[in-house]
Amino acid sequence: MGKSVIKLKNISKKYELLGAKPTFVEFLMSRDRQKHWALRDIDLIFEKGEKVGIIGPNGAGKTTLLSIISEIVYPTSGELKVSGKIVSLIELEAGFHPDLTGIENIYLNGLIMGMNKLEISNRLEEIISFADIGKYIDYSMYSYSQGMKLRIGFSVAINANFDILVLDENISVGDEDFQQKSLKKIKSVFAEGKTVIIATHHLDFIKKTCHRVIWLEKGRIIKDGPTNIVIKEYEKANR
Amino acid sequence: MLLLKNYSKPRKYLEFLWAMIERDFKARYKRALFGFLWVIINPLLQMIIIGTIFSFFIKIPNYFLFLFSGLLPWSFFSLSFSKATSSYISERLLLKKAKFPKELIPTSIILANFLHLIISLGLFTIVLLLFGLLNPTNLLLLIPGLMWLVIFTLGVSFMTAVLQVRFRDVNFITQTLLVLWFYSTPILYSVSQIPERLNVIFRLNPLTSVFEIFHCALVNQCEINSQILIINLLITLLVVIIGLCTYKALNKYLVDWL
Repeated sequence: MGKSVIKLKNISKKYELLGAKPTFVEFLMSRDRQKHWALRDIDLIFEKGEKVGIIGPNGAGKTTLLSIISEIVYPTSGELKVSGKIVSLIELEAGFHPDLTGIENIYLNGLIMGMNKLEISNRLEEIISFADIGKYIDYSMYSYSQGMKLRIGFSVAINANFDILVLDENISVGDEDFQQKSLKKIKSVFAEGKTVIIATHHLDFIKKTCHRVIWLEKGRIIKDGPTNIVIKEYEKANR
Repeated sequence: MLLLKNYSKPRKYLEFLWAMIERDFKARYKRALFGFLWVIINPLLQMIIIGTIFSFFIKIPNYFLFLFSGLLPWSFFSLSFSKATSSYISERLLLKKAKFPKELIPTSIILANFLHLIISLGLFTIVLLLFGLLNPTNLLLLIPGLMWLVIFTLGVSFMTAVLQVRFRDVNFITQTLLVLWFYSTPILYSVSQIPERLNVIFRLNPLTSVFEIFHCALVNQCEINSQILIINLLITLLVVIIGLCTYKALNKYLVDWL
């Protein structure tokens, strides 16, 4: 048995469904607000170096689970314990300031990802060369295409010196060329001793890379176990 | 300390804060033609327009300079307050991206504005020096005045910034409030010109004493009423505590509502 790096104990997450523009006036007026349980009583332990796939239909709670593990979203109840640095490849192109240059944004993004300035400076070359957007790196970001922003976002995240990587759907981003490159990079992370948690519908990818799979449905764990067993049952149930 | 607690390394925290302030600065000047000048031009124009009109009704010596010594901190306050209030909404993607100390978003906006205020106050004191109006000992009062102003701004903005995420109409309330607030703060007039029966407004408005301190420090025309001062201090304390408590209670759920 390895050392556990993430521990979820009885985690539940409830969302209140609000109107398009939740206002104070509306809050005072309406009494019965719709509630929705995105996760219900989740108990999980992830060990160091484990590669875990999370599967399930849309709305099963996969993204919520990943957001809770990354501590972006707080659970309504339950306990979460994380040891080690997590980087999540969620919202890759988010958090950039359009008026700042690529390099300035790399620093800012790196800080948000939990690096300090020195670490970013040390990895700057690597980040820039991996993103590979040429002279644009010195220009303001409003002149960037969506793909270029994704490249920068991915490059910063993957170089963020993490212990645990959390992936949501996007195992590859950008154009054909960069997709290959990012996929290769992610596969190399799988080969390292780091913990990886991935939610995706690409069952083939999971079969090749993960040794444990968690099947979620309606916010509950249906099955948790070795990849081939869980996927076989999942495929049987969804046929 | 309350804010530092949820981040392990203070140095890293400060580094992050500074980077956010820098971001605000850089972003503001990169595409603005006159850059910093706009921070001065806005209150300057206000001073000229308001001064020209109100000098017919309000008799205060050196009225234009008196006005300016209030308009500078006011433009800091109103800009910070309104920008910080909507800051979580405009930075929603940042919050969804990773875990980081969320209080830095409104704090960095306010501190960036604060740096501007200090620079423009520096320029203003040079002007006052040329007019021979500056009293060096009074100038020291700027230190408690600035501290009070920034602490109060932080406290009140924390409250509205968090509430704005939950209730999107908070923004409209604060915009209206700002207009009323401007007229109930001694900026156009001095406290001594208002009949004492209206003192209740000044007691409830913590900015009264803050602005009187600015008037004392810069143009040496002020009347600090100790009773108002104490009540103002207590209200400031209350607002700051409520602000921090609201933040502490709700900051975990900000992302849910974005």
